[in-house]
Amino acid sequence: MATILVVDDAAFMRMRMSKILSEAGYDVIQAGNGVEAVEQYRGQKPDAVLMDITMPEMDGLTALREIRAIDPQARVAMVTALGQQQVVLEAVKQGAKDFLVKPCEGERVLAAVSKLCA
Amino acid sequence: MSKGQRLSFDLDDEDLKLFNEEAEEQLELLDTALVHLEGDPDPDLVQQIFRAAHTLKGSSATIGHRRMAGLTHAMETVLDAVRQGKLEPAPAVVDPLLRALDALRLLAQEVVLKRHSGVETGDLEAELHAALETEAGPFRHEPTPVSWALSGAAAAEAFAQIERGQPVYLVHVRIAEECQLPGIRCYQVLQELDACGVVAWTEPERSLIEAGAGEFSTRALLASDVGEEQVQSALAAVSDVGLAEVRALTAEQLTGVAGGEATPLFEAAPARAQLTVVGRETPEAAAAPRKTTQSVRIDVERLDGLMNLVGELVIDRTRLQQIREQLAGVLRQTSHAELMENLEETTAHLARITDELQEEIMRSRMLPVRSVLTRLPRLVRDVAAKCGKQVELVMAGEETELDRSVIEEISDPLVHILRNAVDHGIEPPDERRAAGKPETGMVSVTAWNQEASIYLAIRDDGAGIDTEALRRKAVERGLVAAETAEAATEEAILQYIFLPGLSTAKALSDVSGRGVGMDIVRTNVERLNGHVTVRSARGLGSEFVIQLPLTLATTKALMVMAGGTVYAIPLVSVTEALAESDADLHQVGGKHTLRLRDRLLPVADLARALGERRLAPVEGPRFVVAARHGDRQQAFLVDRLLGEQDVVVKSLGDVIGARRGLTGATILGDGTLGLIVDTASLLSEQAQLAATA
Repeated sequence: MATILVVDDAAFMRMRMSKILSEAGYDVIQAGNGVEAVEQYRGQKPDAVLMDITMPEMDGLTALREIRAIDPQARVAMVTALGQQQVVLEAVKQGAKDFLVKPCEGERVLAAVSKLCA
Repeated sequence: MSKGQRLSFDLDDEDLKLFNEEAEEQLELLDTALVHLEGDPDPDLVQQIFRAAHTLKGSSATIGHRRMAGLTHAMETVLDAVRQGKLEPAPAVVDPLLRALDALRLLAQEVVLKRHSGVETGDLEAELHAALETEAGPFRHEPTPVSWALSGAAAAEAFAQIERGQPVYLVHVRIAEECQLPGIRCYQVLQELDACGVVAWTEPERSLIEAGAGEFSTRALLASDVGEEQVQSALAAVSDVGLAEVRALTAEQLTGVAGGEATPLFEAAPARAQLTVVGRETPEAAAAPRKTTQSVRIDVERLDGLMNLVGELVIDRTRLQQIREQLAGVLRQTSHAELMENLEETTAHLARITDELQEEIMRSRMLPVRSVLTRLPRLVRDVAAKCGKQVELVMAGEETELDRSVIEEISDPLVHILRNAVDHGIEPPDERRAAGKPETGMVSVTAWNQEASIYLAIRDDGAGIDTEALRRKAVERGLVAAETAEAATEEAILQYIFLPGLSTAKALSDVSGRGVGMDIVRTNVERLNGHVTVRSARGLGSEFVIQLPLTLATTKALMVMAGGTVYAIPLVSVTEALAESDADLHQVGGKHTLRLRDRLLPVADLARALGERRLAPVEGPRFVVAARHGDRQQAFLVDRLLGEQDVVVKSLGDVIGARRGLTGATILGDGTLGLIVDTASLLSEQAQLAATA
């Protein structure tokens, strides 16, 4: 089964996402900020990444860039709150494959992840 | 075939409506644009004119209107030559096009009237063909198909693609409604299409999509060497893509010219919306981004129906507010305070929503004033030509919106003032030169919006109005007493121009002298609850400003009780309302007058002025309401002031039959009838009474 990297500085969001994904049979790894996310990506080569945008240390957009630099094929979906349209657009221009708007329903998360992994 | 003979066309009533609307639109476009073809026209403009002729050709051929199709075909041929730079749009080319346009109007009308207008097109077609030979020598028409919404380079690319035997797809993608950021999905769709091939055209346009401003629906033209399924699966990779249509086009479909029948593949934003060809654009207007919005056609009757329903709603809201007030006293004293609060909250909300709804519906009835202005360039050109003058027309504020009922009524007054400006205002070229002015005179029509009014100003840089001649005429015709005229200021004399039976033209000219004077203009404008003012300076020019209310359907009014009847006095004309005891009332020469800020206003009893005979004696304090219209002022005595209210105007004919001094009626919150005072006519009647007394 595919491995998914969940990146969010909010532990609750990480936990919820992880739960949804594990229950659907995915292997989940986690990161609490952009720096951790880049490290995790380099070490574990996950199949897909769910990336929060606003985070301490390194934000989602920068992390996206660094991950794409490591792996141009990286499949990243941004996780955003409403009102961040311009950042999301920028992320999509920089290679993010999809986005999810918080609060995310389980169904939508799973649909997005299965699309990313396809 | 001869005039009056019955004709039949190949279309049913539904088609007829569509045919008409489209024809009207294209003719209007031609009307505005053709006069600007002369000289060095903008290629976009030529393209638009060409397309209009082309569309008309297609639809008239479809319904079997041979003469119309033949004529538009000839126009199209000429315009195509202009478009390709093979023919210079000299007057010898534009004139026959304008004559053809005149004939087209009649031909289009035949479809509605189902009768032959007597117009034959043979000569006109011959003239158009002759125009082709004028300059560039013998000219052979090579039809180049033109696509509907593609610009030159993109179209060439798309055609080349088809010629190479590779597909061009029309792609239509809809984003699922629940998507919260459709703009980004739209961009992702564009990304996927870019990866599939060359995207020649998109709607909304690419720059908008790239800025994240796309919406739930995106259309694109894709030249690609991959199969349809591959395009489909690329689109399916984007989340939230609801529907994706991918259709390979043939060359005919791409041009939209299949067997002479016009099939608009892409309904580009209405050409007229981008067409600002008349005169100089104001910098603000030029800088303002053109907003592309989606639109649907709505039957005017349906809008009127909606407006009526909202009117009812407004009445109920008012009634509800009254009930709330009545209940407030009772309920507060008991244990129902909370209930009362709820009622207040709900009523307030309902009131707000009703206001917004009313506003929205009113807005949907609004048309840009452009629809009236489009006819003016042609008018000015014709009038100027007829009087041997050189005139440039400048228009601004064409986007200003007016209720359609007002638009319909304002056209005649506007046309009249403009004719006058060209015919009487602007001097002949030699006179202008002698006066040190440029030979070409300037007439401008400017529209703008201020508070709840629309203003239309018609200015010219001509000779100005000859006040001496006006003074003499007014006295000669017995319209003004000699001593009054002698004492009158320049400004006051200018107002004589609105007197019935006065014409300043030295001779009745063919152009303006049709027995319609400025008095009719004033009457028409005032009937719309508006007013018209004039300013003029000798040698410098004149200015007429028409002020109009945004809408005629509702009006804010001061509600008063007089002689047992409720009257609504439009708030625009109310200058003051006060208790009789506070009013500075005098008897001057046996007449009641009110002193109001250094002015003495005649005072009349409102109910009596409106023709009520049997008046019950009034007990208790009375009130005085001062009203103004144009430069007339008058005060009226009323029994009670009932407050301000939005009233929905219903025609009097519907209710009690027409009555002087009243514009209409309105149903009040309690279901009774209120009468709406026509301040304009009431004040002028009172002034006449005073003059004869």
